[in-house]
Amino acid sequence: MGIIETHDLRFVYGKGTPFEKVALDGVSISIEQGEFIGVIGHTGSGKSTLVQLLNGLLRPESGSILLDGNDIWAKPKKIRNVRFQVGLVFQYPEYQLFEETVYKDIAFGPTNKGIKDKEELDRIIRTSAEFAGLKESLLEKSPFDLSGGEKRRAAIAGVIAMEPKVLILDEPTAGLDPRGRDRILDRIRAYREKTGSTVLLVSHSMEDIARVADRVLVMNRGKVEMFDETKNIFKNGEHLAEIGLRVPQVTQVFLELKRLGADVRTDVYTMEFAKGVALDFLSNSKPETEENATPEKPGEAPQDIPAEAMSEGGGVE
Amino acid sequence: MISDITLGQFMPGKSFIHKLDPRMKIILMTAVIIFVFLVKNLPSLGAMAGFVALAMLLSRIPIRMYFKGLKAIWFLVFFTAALNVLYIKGEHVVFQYKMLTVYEEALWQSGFIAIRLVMIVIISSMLTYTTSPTDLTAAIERLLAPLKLIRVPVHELAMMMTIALRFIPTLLEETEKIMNAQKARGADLESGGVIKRAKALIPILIPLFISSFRRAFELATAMDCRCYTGGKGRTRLNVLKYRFRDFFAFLFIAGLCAGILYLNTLAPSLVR
Repeated sequence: MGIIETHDLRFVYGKGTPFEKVALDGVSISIEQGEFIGVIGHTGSGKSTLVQLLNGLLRPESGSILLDGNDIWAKPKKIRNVRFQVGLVFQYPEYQLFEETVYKDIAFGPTNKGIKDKEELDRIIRTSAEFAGLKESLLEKSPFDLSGGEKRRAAIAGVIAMEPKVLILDEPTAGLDPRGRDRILDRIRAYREKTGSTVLLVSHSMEDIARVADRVLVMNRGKVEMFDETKNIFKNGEHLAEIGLRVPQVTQVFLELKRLGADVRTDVYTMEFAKGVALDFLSNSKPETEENATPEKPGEAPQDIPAEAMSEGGGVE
Repeated sequence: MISDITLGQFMPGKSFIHKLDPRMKIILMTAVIIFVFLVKNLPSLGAMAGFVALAMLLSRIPIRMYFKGLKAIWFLVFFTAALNVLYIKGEHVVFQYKMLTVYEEALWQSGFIAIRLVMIVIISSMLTYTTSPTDLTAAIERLLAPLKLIRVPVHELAMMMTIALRFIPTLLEETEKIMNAQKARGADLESGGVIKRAKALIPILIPLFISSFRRAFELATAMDCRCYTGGKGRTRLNVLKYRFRDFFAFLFIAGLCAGILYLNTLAPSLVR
C-alpha cells in the first residue's frame, strides 16, 4: 500500500458557469513511502490541481484520495490534519510571508499544528531553516528584506517546519537564477535523504526532474500520460514531444548522436552521468578518430566517426 | 467562498443586452433604478418585476448567477425589512404582543423595500455581467465628458475605474492563492470567534497589501513605458456608435417608465 493513493480522481473548475473546465479526469496513482516523484506536464495539464487535491485544499468531484490507507475526506472537519501531514509549497511561495521576522514566519505552521513548547518550537524552526539552507543570522530579519532566493527558501522552511510525511513542491525553482535553483534542489534532495520523507516535485524543467526524481508522473490534459521510472520516461522522447514536452537537453544530445549513427546509450539525463558516458565513448573511438580524421576536413569528420565507432562504442558502459 | 463573489464580473455573451451600446445601457439602467423607487402599488410593481424578469431572460446569463450576486445582500435585505416591520407605525394592527405592534402598512412598506433592493442589485449586476470593463469605462468617460468644461479630470477618473475593475478578479485570485498557501500551513479560517477570525485574516491581508503595491508600481512603470501621458489627444480603437437596437431599447424603457407612472395612479399607494 502506498503512502498516497488516488482512485479515479475527477475535478472540475467553475462548475455551472460558462468557464467550466475539467481539470482532472480519471487519475489513479500510487506513491510509496520515501519516493521522490517528479511531476511534469504542460501548462494546464492539471498538475497544480492534482497537488492541491492531495493535501485537501480542493475537494474532488468524484474519486478518492487515500493517505496511509485512509480517505482524507472521510471526516471533512478534520481536513486540517491532512494539511499538516502533506506539506504543500505553492508556486512563488514567497508571497505567503507575512510575519515581522523570518523566525516568526517559520513558526506559523508548527504553531497552527498545536506545538506550544517553546524549546520544541525553537528546535523545529532552526532545523527547518537549516534544511532550507537559511543562515541563522537571517532568522531575526524581516522576511521582506531578504533576496528573492532567500525568501523562497524561508517560505519552504515554513512548510518543512510542519514536519510533513509528504512534502509537495509546486515549481519551487520558477524564476530563480541557476545558482538559486541548484541550491533549492540540493536542499530538497538533502532533506529527503535525511528525513526519508516522500517528496513530490512539480516542475516544467526536465533538467530539474531528471536530477532528483526516482519516478516521473507525466500529466497531459488532466490525465496521467505516463508514470514510470525516470530513465524509462526519458527514453520516450518522441512521445513526450507529442504532448508538448521535451526530454532534458543533455538527453536530446545523446538521442541526436544516436540518430546520426553513434551507438551511445540514450537513457542519459544528468550532466554527471553524461560526462562519464561521453568520456567512455570518446576514449573508445579515439584511435579511429585520429586515423580517419587526418586526411579529411574537420567539418566532415563527424559524419564518418559514428559509423566507425558503432562497433566499438557499443561496448561502452 | 471567494469564487462566489460575482459582483463586477463580466460574463461574455452575444445576447441583445450584451450588444447594446454601453452608454445607452448605463442611461437606461439608471432610469430603471430611479423608477424602481417610484414603484408605489401592486400594478406598477408587477410591471417592473415583469420587466426585470424579461431583461434577465434576454441577457442569457444563468439565473443562478444573479442569485449568487444577491447572496451578499440577503442579510441587508432581511435586516432592513425586519427593522421596518417593527418601527413603522400605521392604522391597521395585524399583530400585537406586549410592546411589539406590527401594522399592515409596515408589512407593505418593508416588503416593497426588500423587493426594490433585490431588483436594484439584479439590474446593476446585469450591467456589469453584460458589459466588459473596457466598454463600461469608455461609456462613463463619454457620458461624463461635459464635466471636462469645469476641469473635472474625466479621463483620469475613467482610467482609475478601468484599472480598479480590471484588478478585481486579479486580486480575488491572488487572495484565493494566499488563502490556500496559508491554509496549507494550517491556518484556520473557518472556526473560532470574531476576534480569532479577525486575527486569522492578518496572514492573508499583509501579503495581499504587499503584492497590491508591487502590482501598482509595475503597472505604473508599464504605462510609462508605453508613453501614457493621460487623456489629452488620445483616440479610441473602438468608437462607440448608437444603433437601431439602442433606440428601440430606449423607446421600450421610456414606455415602461411612462407605464409605471400611469399604473401608480390606478391604485392607492402602498408605500410612503
